[in-house]
Amino acid sequence: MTLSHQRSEGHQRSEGHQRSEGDRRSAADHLSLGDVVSVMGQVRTGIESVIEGKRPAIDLALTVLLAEGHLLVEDVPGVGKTMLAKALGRSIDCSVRRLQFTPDLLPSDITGVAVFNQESRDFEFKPGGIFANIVVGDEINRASPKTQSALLESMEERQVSVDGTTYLLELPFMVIATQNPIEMEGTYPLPEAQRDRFMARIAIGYPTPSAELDMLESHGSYDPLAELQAATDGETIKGLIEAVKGVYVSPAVRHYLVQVVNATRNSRDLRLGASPRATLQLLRASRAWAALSGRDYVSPDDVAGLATAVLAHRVLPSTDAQLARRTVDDVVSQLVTSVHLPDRR
Amino acid sequence: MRSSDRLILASTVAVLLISFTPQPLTSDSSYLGQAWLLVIVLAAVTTGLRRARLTAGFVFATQVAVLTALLFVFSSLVPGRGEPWYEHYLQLWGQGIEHMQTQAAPMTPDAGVKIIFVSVLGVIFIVTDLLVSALERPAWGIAPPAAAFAVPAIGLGIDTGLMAFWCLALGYLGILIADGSNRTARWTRGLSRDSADGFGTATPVVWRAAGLIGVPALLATAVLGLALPTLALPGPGIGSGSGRGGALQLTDPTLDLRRNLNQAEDTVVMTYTSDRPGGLYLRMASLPQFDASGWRNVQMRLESGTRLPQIPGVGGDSGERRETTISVGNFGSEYLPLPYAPRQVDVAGDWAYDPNSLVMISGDRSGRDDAIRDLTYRVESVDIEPDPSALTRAVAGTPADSNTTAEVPTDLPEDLRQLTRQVTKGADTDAEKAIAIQKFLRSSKFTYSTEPLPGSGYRALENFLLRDRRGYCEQFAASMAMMAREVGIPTRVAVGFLPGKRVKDNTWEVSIRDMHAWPELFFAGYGWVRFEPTPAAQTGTPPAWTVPRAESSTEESLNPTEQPSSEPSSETSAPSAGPTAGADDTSADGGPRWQQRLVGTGIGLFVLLVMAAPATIRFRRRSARLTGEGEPAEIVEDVWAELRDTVIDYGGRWPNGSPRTIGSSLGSRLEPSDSAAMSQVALLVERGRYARTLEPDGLGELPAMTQRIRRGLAPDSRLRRLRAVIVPKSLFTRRKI
Repeated sequence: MTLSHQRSEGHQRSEGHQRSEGDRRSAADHLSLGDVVSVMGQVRTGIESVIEGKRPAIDLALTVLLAEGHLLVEDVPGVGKTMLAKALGRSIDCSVRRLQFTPDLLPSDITGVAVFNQESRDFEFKPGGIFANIVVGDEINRASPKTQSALLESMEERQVSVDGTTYLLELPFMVIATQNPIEMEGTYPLPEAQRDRFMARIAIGYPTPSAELDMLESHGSYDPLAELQAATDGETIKGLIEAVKGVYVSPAVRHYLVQVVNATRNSRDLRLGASPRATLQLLRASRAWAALSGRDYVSPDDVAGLATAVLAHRVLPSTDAQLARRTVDDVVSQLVTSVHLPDRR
Repeated sequence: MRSSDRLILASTVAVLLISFTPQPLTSDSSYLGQAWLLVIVLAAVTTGLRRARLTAGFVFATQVAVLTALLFVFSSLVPGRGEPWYEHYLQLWGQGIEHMQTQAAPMTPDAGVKIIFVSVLGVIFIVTDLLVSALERPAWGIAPPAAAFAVPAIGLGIDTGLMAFWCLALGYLGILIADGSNRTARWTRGLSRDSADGFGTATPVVWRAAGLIGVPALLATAVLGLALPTLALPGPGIGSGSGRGGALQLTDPTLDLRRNLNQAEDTVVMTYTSDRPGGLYLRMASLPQFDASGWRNVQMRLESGTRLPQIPGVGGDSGERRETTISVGNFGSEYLPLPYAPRQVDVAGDWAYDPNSLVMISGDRSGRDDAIRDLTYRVESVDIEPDPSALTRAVAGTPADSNTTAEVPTDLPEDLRQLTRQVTKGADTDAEKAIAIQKFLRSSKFTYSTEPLPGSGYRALENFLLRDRRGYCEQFAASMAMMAREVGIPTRVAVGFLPGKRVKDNTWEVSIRDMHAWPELFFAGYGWVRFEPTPAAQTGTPPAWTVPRAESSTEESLNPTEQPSSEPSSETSAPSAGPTAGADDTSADGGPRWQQRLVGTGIGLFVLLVMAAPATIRFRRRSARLTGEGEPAEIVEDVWAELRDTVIDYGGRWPNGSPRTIGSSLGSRLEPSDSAAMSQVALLVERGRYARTLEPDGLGELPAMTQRIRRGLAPDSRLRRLRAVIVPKSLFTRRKI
């Protein structure tokens, strides 16, 4: 486990990575979109051996990983939220930290703290739980808002500032937070600003009976998570992320994407629409999804398919929609179908 | 120019062009000024309102209001009696309608007619605009102007002329072109393919297509229009064709007949000198139409000139020419008295002839009633004198106007039919039947009198034939023509003069009481043959050919008790050198029949062409789309558009969504292999639209794949498949963008 915790003003990396950066970089640069499908296929197979029958959720998680986003997994306890997060971390040979959010968790537990070293007579930075490639924030809505906010800067800017010093986080960096629905007891709803920083929110849902039966069999005899082998490493993922950036988005699709986001702002059923950040993240997610599907271009179907996952957690339903018992997911997916798709290039 | 402006401009031009259509109806063209003012004001108001993006209902209401206001202004220009303006306006309408009913075209100026024309043109503009702009159905834009075109053409039986047709066609073409360029500007389809990528880039396609379809279509219709005969329309009006512009209204020649016959003083009205012996029946008019109201004129297609065409039913110029000089005295008519069959007339003035009846009519528009007064002219004619023995074997022929001259009214009273059957019982050939009828009418049962029982139509015939048996030439001629027609011989009633009195060698004098009517019967090989059923007291001996040399037994059995009122002509003419009936059946009637067939074929072809047009356009569009030429993305888009049109043609709905969703939605209806092809096409479309580049690999199979999908999409119902071919819906649906 390597951490970048050097005190410096500039953009610094850990020594280990700096050492071999040249050749690793070149290897990563040569990754193409074809590698996205093969590498991610292996990762997916690995995760699927742990969580059966949740292909859409897994694909979305991989999409967010490739799109340099953060994932919010929201569902009732016990459906495998943490399992998904851990399996994803295991499948990639990189640093994985797990933060169990509790009401007494302090912000410094996340970011780290500078302690005085008697020997060196100097302050030394003890990195917090955020310093990892994949951070699993378990039950994030059980922590106090103050602690939740500590995640803010690191998630968006991929850096941590403690006592006036900025520490860069190592790439790839992804926060997978799980939370229980806010109606549950003992939860603090995630602030809107923070929700906006998550690229996508997914629900895992109950397994199908057959998947549940398979689960009983496998989990009864051994721990599949323990046997899960890493299919790739962080450097490869970095290369893949770079490759995904080359996915082509035609003007028509950009136009469509903006229209979709715009629709959330003009809808009567929504009190708060999606932010421009959401537009950007929807674009990135669409690129990643297209790459995962083996395409070098984004199609409107990618945008439409991801819109609910990317937009629904950012918007707020209007009172009318709430009274009509319409969930934001319904509202957003209906908005997406209402946006007319240009029939031409 | 905005797209809405373009359509309004096109509609305006169409209505302005169509405003010329009623011009032949009236001698007063001042309605044009008001109509144009009205249409232009309406167009300006409409343009403003459309630009302000007001609702269609509001625009329509404003148009109606403007129309009403302007009509108020126009009607108030006509002095009234101080009644409210709407009453005044309605009175003007009533006045105009009455004027139209009482006047023949061209009508004299009338304020009512003017206000009617202006109102109708205003309404036509509003309705056209409603269809073209508000309802977005430019194709229907032809209907209101076409109504304006059709009213004089059909309703009033007036030849509207080629110019009016061109006006209508050009206006419509304008609307279509305006719509076409709007569509292209809106990124919708051009005609042959769907690759309009920007504003106006495909406008040339529309223009080209408009030229390609419109110009030949216009030319074809114009040429065909010249080739087709004017439709025979009921009514006393006689249209004149061959670009004489407008129609001539003719008087009923029979009206004068009785009046002239009853003239107290028998004055000489004309003299004629012929270069061959024998008196001449001078024929003026011919009445081919027979129905419940009696014998009438029909609308004729007149030709200019004094050299007459082929004699109907007679092959070539058989027989020797007779030259006659006729001097008319104090007698007025628009018909030129001529011996039958005239070949060439040397006469001063403007004259036209009807090729069917060889009747000549004055072409002068004014003073036509006096056209022949104090006129001297020379005529070359051929005598139609069939050989009596040959004629008895003759059969009825089919003249060019047989739809009129051979038509027996279905409501002909049964007692008349029965009498005819009784009279012609025992006669074998058509000619024998005709002879029997003439013999019957010339029998002593009938008395010549200019005071028959009153009555008209069938009633007059029944009175004459079954009750009173008193009448003059008109009754005799009408009866014979009716009875001969009943037994299947084409007939018509000729009106003219008896040969008159011989004064010198070959000079004859015709007096007013010689005015006469006689039947003409059409026999194959002989053409129109004159018969004479009017008794000898008035007419002398019947024509030689109508009395067989040897009285046959049939005649005896027919009327055993009656004595011929006059002896048959003693002269036994030698068998004429004329053609025999058998050989002539084809050659004599060949001409008109051949023409009839040609015209029929022409009409048939035209109808077929019109019916096949949508299928042809659709087929052309399909083959243009499936050529596989052009940019890969364009090829794929063409195929996609073709699939969309196919689905619409088959009555389906083109799903909404991305190519992929559409592909899977349609693929679910197809067989697995076709479904795979469908998703492959959908994928190519997706790549073409959204990927950076589309590799041209695999595009060669696209046409075959498309055809396979087409077959897969075809509905089971044969009727729906057929409809998709004949009336492809995709041509008529407007695609939303």
